[in-house]
Amino acid sequence: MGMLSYLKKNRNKMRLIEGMSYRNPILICGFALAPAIMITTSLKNSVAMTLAFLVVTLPTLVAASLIKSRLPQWLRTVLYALIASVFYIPALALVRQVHPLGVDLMGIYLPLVVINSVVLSRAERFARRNQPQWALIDGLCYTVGFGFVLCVLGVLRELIGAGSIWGVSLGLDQRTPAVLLPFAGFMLVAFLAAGAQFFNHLLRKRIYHRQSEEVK
Amino acid sequence: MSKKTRLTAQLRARDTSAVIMGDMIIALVPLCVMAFYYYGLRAALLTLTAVAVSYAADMAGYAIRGKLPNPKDLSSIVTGLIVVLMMPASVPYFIVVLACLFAILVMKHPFGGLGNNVFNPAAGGFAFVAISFPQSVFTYPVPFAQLEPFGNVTAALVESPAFTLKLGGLPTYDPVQMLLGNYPGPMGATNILVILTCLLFLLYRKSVDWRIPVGFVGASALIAVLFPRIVLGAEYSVLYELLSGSLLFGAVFVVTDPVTGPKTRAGRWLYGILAGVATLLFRHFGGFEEGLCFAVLILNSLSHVMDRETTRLSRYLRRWMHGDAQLSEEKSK
Repeated sequence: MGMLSYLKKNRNKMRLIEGMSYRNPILICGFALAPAIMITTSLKNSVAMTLAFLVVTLPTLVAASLIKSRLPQWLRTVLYALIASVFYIPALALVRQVHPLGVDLMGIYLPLVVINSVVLSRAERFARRNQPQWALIDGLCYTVGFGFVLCVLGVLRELIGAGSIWGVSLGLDQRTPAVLLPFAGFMLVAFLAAGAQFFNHLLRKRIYHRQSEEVK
Repeated sequence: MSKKTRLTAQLRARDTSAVIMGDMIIALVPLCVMAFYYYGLRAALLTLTAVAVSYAADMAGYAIRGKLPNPKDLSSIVTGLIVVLMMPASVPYFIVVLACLFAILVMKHPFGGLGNNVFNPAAGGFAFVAISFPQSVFTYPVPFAQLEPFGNVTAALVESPAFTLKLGGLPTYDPVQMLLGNYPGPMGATNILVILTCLLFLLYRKSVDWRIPVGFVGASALIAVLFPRIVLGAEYSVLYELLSGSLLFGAVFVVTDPVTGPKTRAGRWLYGILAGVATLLFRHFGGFEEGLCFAVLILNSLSHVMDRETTRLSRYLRRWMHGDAQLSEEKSK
């Protein structure tokens, strides 16, 4: 298949978009599980959280790639958190525009996006040693991966739990309010993570077979 | 050495053999017959649905895990039967299907399948539907009411004695009728005499360890005596606490699961006693009238810890009691 041979040849370039393809931050890396489980009770919450994540993470990663390694590590980490907090102000304004009730519904998990694991991990690993444009694309891909999982979870839980999408009731008879509880969020994330691992497994198997074919 | 050496506890249970599963099924069949006697065709159809769904889900689970399905594996049938016998006869079919699917595909196979599951699948399946659909799972039809075999039930549903106890009232059922099972309650858990007979059968066949039911019922009775919910007196409190809900059914079938419980003798005592205390705590302070499943799930996570700590404590105790003997033997040589 053309895409797979492209993947194999351009492995290093594929690592740029790893966040949204084979290295989903929530499902494979296990980052930012708390928002993924607790606030995905409705699609509006998920979208608002993704927007906040976007506004907070991308500028922080660009700033990290501008700071590079000039400061000691302990100071760098604190600085990332501080820069992210500064960018939380426009993020909060954006969330208030899109989903005004969400600020209270999401409780503590909305401000916690400031110190989410994705921004700290990618800043130290990737943004520090690369140019700002690649850090930006990397952050964007991780945000897309994060947002995708959050929206899938939000749609599922809202449909099954409240019988509505984006607050619009669909008039379904059968609702299971227990799906909105955290335990169901844990289980859904677990099953989605199993699915993502299975997808990666298939990918690796195909690449391995392709490689062994080409060797022969 | 003169003192007898004790056998070391098996740190891992024998793989659940077909004999134990077969005995459990033999013990559960009379309860299904009684459910059919009291609630008619619907009870039988619900039981068949539960068994079929559990078996199919188990085979599907094996296939998903990449293993060959073992058609002789009867453990899923036991799980399905336990799940359905804890439900009212008026429960909708989809709830039974959901409970069995959850029990097998979420509580059993993701943890490693037969012999490796940490949590009791039947308890987990029932807990899931109890939280999701409490109004369907905790309202019961009166015995000998005419229930529609298919679809949803339109007969009048009443609360069980456990609910009456939770409100602080006194159940008005004759204890003899309660022993026979002629009161509204879970399909299989109301027939107290049959359950006790099944317990004797399982004890005779050595499929369950007597320490767990004895500890469980003893601790429950003790808590019921010390903290009665009925003001009439201790004996009424014990009677109604033990006979209401699925406490005795759980004591025989749910708590005694060999895979999820502890393996050592002292661990089993501790597990049974703690299960009794926890069940009564959930009944007193929990949101639902029946707390057995939640208590069992919590204690399943501590099974290994109970094994480990009881063996460690018994080792320390033995060392403290006989500790100097070995030293003095070595000195006298």
